[in-house]
Amino acid sequence: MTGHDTEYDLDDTVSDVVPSVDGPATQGPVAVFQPPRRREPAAPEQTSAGDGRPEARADGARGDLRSDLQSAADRRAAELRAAADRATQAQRERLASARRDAEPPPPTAPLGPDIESPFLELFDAEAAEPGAVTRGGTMPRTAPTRAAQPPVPPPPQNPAPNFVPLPPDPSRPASTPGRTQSQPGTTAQGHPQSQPGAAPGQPQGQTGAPGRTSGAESAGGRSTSSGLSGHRPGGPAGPARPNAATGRPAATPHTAPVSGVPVSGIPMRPPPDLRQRPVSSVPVSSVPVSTVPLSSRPLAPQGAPPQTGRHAAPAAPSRTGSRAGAKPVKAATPPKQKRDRDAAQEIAITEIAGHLTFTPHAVTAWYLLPEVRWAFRPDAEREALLSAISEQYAGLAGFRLHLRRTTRPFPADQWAQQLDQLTTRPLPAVPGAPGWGDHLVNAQRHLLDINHSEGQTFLGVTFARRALGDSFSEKLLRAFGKGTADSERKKLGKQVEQFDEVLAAFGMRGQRAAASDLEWLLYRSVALGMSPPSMMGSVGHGRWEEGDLLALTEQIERYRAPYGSTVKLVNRMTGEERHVAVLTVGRMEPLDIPERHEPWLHFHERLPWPMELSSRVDILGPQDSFRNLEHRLRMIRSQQLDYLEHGMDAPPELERLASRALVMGDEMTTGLPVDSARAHGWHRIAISGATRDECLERARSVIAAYSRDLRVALQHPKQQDQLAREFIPGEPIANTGYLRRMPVRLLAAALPQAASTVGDRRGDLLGRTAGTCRRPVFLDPHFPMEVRERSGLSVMVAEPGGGKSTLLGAMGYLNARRGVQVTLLDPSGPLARLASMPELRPYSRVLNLTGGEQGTLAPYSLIPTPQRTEFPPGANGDREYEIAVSNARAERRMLVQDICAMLVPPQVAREASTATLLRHAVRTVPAEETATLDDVVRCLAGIDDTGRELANLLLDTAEMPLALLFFGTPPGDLLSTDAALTVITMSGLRLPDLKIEREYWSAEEALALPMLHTAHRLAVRRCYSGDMHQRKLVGLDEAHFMEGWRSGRSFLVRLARDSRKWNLAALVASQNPKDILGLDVQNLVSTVFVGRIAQDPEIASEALRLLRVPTEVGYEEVLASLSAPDANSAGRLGYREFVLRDVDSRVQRVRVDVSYVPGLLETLDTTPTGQAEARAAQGGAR
Amino acid sequence: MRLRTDDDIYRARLVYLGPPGYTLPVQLPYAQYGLFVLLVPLYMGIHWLFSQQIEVFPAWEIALAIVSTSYVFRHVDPDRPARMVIRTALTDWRRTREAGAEHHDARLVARRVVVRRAIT
Repeated sequence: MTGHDTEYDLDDTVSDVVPSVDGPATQGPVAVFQPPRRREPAAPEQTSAGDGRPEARADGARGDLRSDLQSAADRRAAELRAAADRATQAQRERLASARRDAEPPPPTAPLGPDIESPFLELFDAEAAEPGAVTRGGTMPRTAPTRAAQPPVPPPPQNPAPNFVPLPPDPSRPASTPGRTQSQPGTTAQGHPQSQPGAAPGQPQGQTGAPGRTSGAESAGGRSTSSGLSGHRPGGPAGPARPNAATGRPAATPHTAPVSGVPVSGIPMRPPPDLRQRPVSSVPVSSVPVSTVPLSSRPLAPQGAPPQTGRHAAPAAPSRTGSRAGAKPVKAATPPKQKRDRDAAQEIAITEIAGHLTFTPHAVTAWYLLPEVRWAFRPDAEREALLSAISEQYAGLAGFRLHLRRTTRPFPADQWAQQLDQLTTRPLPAVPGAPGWGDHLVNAQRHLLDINHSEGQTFLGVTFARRALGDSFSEKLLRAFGKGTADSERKKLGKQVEQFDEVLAAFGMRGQRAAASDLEWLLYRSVALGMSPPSMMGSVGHGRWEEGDLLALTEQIERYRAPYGSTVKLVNRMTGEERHVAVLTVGRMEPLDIPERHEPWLHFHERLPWPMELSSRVDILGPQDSFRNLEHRLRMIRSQQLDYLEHGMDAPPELERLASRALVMGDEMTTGLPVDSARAHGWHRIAISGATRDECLERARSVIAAYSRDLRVALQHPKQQDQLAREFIPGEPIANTGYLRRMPVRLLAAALPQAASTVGDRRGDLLGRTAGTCRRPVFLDPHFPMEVRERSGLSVMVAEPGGGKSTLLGAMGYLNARRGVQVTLLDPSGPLARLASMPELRPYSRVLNLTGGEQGTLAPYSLIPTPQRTEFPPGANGDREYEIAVSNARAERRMLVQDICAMLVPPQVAREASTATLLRHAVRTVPAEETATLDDVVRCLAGIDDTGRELANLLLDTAEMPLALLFFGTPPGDLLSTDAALTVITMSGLRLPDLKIEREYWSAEEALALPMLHTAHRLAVRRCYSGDMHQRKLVGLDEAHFMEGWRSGRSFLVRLARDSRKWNLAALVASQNPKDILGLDVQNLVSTVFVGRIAQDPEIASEALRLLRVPTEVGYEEVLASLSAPDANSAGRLGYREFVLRDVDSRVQRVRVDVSYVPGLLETLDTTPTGQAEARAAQGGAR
Repeated sequence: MRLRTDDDIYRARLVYLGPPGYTLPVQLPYAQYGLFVLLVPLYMGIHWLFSQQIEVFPAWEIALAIVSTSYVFRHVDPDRPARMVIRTALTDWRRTREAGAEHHDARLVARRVVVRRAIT
């Protein structure tokens, strides 16, 4: 038991929707549910040499000398650079124009080279004449006010930097919907350059930025969806798309890269200056100045510019016109390229070859460490894991390691595509309600919004110094476009195999990192904490080439303030700005790692924003560490001697430290290598934020969390720039402070690769993990049967109010959407409201048993007779069939006997003669589906007096209207199979309290027991008809009434056994885990949800047994703390938490969150106020 | 499993008590004397640059060296060696003004990195 399991997330105050650090929110692609459009593989390579850019030309000239790789990278870089140049120019332009406008008389001479941009008009979104800006043409270096002047001749120089696939009319703002929609088209046309980074598209996006008007906002959202959900078959345009309505930038991933609105949703790039807007081009009303708060413009030092003048329609043209008229348009001069040629420094790494990286001095082998499970594991397992890892570290003695953890945004689009593929028959769309495509898009947006990222842990082993000759020959070969010499790499390839053996063993299980992984790592390290390049998904599809990602590093600018606490990183392509603070691990108190504390480099993951880790560690073998220690011991001894010579009292600490050093030395000399190996190193955590304040605030909370829970003092040193650089593989160590010396066991216990994943990755999005880190949880109830070949029985256990019904309803809804035939038994009835949801209404049916016809619950017919076709042909099949038929008969008899025992008063039922008589009667009546309870009564009446009395007792109960459900033959078309969702309710039924003896139950309560039993059977009965392989889901609430009856156990066993055969997933909800444990079916249970159990520790430990988690080590408190309301807030708890054990026996605390489905939570809300609101909303809708 | 660092051993305070037979009135870490010894000739050199003469008893230099040594060592602790403090002061020192005057660092560019899918 460690503290972290009981601990609650630290982010209770933090909203789940975190402005992403990783930025997948905007950048992450959202899958398009359309038949996959093949991109044309090779559009003719557009020449970049003709763009008149000196360096591009130089690159082109050298290109033939280089290898393909190098030239491709260069070419890409040149393109990106050009695009970024334009972006920067435009930015400066805006800045300059803002500055200039602040001064009343604008000097004719430019205020500085800042405003001299040939691409000025290109970025002026509102250039009056589209023709004024030719495709890619440059405008003269004039004040931006001249934008209004139509007859500007396009300059002859710089003809068409045609690597920019501008849409035909770049001067049009994006507010014209056609243009926005042309974006995907552009990429689809297959300009290979334009795809990956959205690089060339970016400038257009900036022009498009003002187009993100309130009207265009929805247009943007629409365009996304039009790109996305072509799947929606004729669904009407936009209702029930709240995300699109709110127009969150995060919600428009495809447009995001071009929108200029950066990841975090905070517009960092100021929109093009509206002052330059000529009135005529776009109606002023369509430009919502307010969408982008002025305060968020970091670059525009707004003096007190007469803002009103900007928007006052008549004023603006006259002013600009007169000014423009006064000064003749200068002939275009070539742009000053130098302005944008900032200092660039190559990083130390010169080559990536496979999993090796080369710097001029050393070679490092990189391994990818897969994530390991940590939470809810027995301590013994954890210790074994840590020991194995520390042995691996000890095996690396003598080498310098670089342990690096970065994140990758969750590939929401891939998940959605997979889900779409697995869903063969989604529920047809209902007009006016979101269709399947919308549903998926909503889920992806939700995923991107709450910014799940997956961690990736890399371990680099610097294992070889490079000989002078090697690095010289590399330099020489680079001139010819080749990297390191073949001979060197061959030699290294042999050397490096030793690490494969060490690292691949149990423990770290490191795998060689692929070159593409290393590229990703390099990019993420240079762009520390910044959003990943857009359309990351395409990396997996191979549309990126080698070096592409690295070329993007060129766009990352770094700023620092002297002695600053943060480094500012700016992406020139997207305008994204991040502030990064690097913390370093300072003094550490002793840690009890598996028992009390959680891994000290995993701990940060409980905070809701991703962080990056970098540890540079020297592993010292036994000799080295002993020498080091001995040296230190001698110094201490000499100091003690000094005190003695001077006749002074030595401080007592010296003696204490000396004796500790002696003990350690003893351990080193006599112990195993694992005990003696030491890890001396520096451990850093990089925290980023959109603003400096946010970054520092986050840093503070990380520091506070570490010092409170782990007693690790995180320090925030100066030299941030160097520290941030240290994250880049191959770069030197920033400073020698905060060196931590520790045994390798403690380093192993850092365990940055720990994670908490649970669930399959192919089902519906159900929520996220809420333990030590946050990962999305997907659950497909058919995954155990279809993939893992296990039973489909899932169990939910929670106290009343623990969220069982909500979870049941949510899973029912999600599965019904996917076309699964869902039957929910909900005795109390709130789930019946699901049927009223517009998207489900035509496909659902509610069956209220309390108003049912006579014979609805006739017990004989509830157990289906197997069909011969269900069994394989041949003699074996015959035999199986016969066995199944007789089993069904036996089960019927058992059920009928139990039902009769439930119907008669408990005192009578307890008598031995009653059981004998019932058994006799049941034996006499043929146990076929057609038999009825009336037959049993008749048979009883014919036996003797006692039998007659018993028959009369049964007939007495039949006087109650509800009991009539058991008698007679069932109506024929009770459960038609066509409805996607069937909800069986028993509204009005009073459920008895099982803690009270049966004698004291009222007649109505007593009747509830057999009704629930038979209703469970009825719900499942429906699944035994129709196609065997069709996916079916049964959700059964209040299953604890099954306990104590033979037929109850047989029911669950049958459910578990038949689930694979009939592809039937069963969710059984109960208040007490004892039911399941008592029925002894837990081996058949594949998935377990345990909700809040706070009242009874015994029940809690039963639940832990169900989860197969060690009991009485403190996990009971975890169950009690689930869904714990915040005492400080008056609001209702918006989520429910469970501990989930999935089919692969991974246990994790999860937070169920289906808020992405519009209206679902309101529908499932069982509180009185929630219901009133829902009803009001429904009434309004009608 | 109780795990602790070895840092405390390296945190022992090692001070110079004085030459044998004579105990200095103040006990300062060895490193402090070292820095002082380096700083005095440095200041003397600077003085010489201006005045082109060497004093017999560089009183001012010694005073300055004492002050600067003690200033440096105010920031030194077992986790922050003097070397790092001085280096931070030298490398991070540009201006003390806060943003708006941010120093534009060289971009770190990984453009020229050769990438191969396999080692050989």
